[in-house]
Amino acid sequence: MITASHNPYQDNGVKLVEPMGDMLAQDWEKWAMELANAPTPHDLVEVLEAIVKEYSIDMTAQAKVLVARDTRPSGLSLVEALKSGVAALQGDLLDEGIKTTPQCHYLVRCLNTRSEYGVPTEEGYFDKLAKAYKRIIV
Amino acid sequence: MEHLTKALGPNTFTASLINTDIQTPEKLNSDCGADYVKMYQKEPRGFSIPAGARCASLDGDADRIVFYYQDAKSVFKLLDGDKIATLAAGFIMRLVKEAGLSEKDIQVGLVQTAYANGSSTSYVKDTLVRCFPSKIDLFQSDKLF
Repeated sequence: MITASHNPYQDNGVKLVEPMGDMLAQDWEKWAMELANAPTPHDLVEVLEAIVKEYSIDMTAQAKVLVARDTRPSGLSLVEALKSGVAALQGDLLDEGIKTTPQCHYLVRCLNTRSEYGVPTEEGYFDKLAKAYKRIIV
Repeated sequence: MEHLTKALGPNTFTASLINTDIQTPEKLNSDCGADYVKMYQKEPRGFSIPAGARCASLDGDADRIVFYYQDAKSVFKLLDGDKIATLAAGFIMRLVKEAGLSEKDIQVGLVQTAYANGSSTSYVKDTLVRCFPSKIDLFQSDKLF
């Protein structure tokens, strides 16, 4: 999720979502720091290679990345940068456009549960919320 | 919110929306939003809280919310995460009691983070809700329920 949350509009950032829609696992925080602070593209690649080695990642497996962004103007160019990065590693990018962070989490979980968690669309998100609310309130 | 209120239908929930201009980037979080309201303990700039209204503010990516209102003496009252969670827990406990369920039938858990206000934790425990210490993981794990 490309967002800087409550920060001023000029800022931007990224929130990583786990496959089941959780927040980033704690042991990944150090990797996020190293990636963000890599001073050169060469250093960035070194960090990526270290991650692949640490988790014994199968680089032949088809990777899918879902990206959403908030309304910050810099979001568009960051999505383009992400497109290049994912393409460079032969992954698939699913661009969900402007969404809220909770919607992004929801979509990731839907996709990874083959829609068992819900329909992977914005409408599916609101339907699920509305149904739950009506059951408990009405 | 527009989509959500449509999905809920007018008989379930209505809301008046302010600060909805997402076409003007500079307005994002500018003197408004959950963080602003919580930090300055006041309503968004340019907004006047109607008498008896229940208000809410979200942050820029809509994953934070605070509620607020003005009491009978026009004093600004903020309901932050701890208070929202406590109110929700109390509501669920009321439903459980109305359904005539006992502790053998169902157990209600509430997750608070390590930053939660100690008084809110004490209050929650006194209303028969079992509290687990911090960690989002607990909430999302199947082991909780």
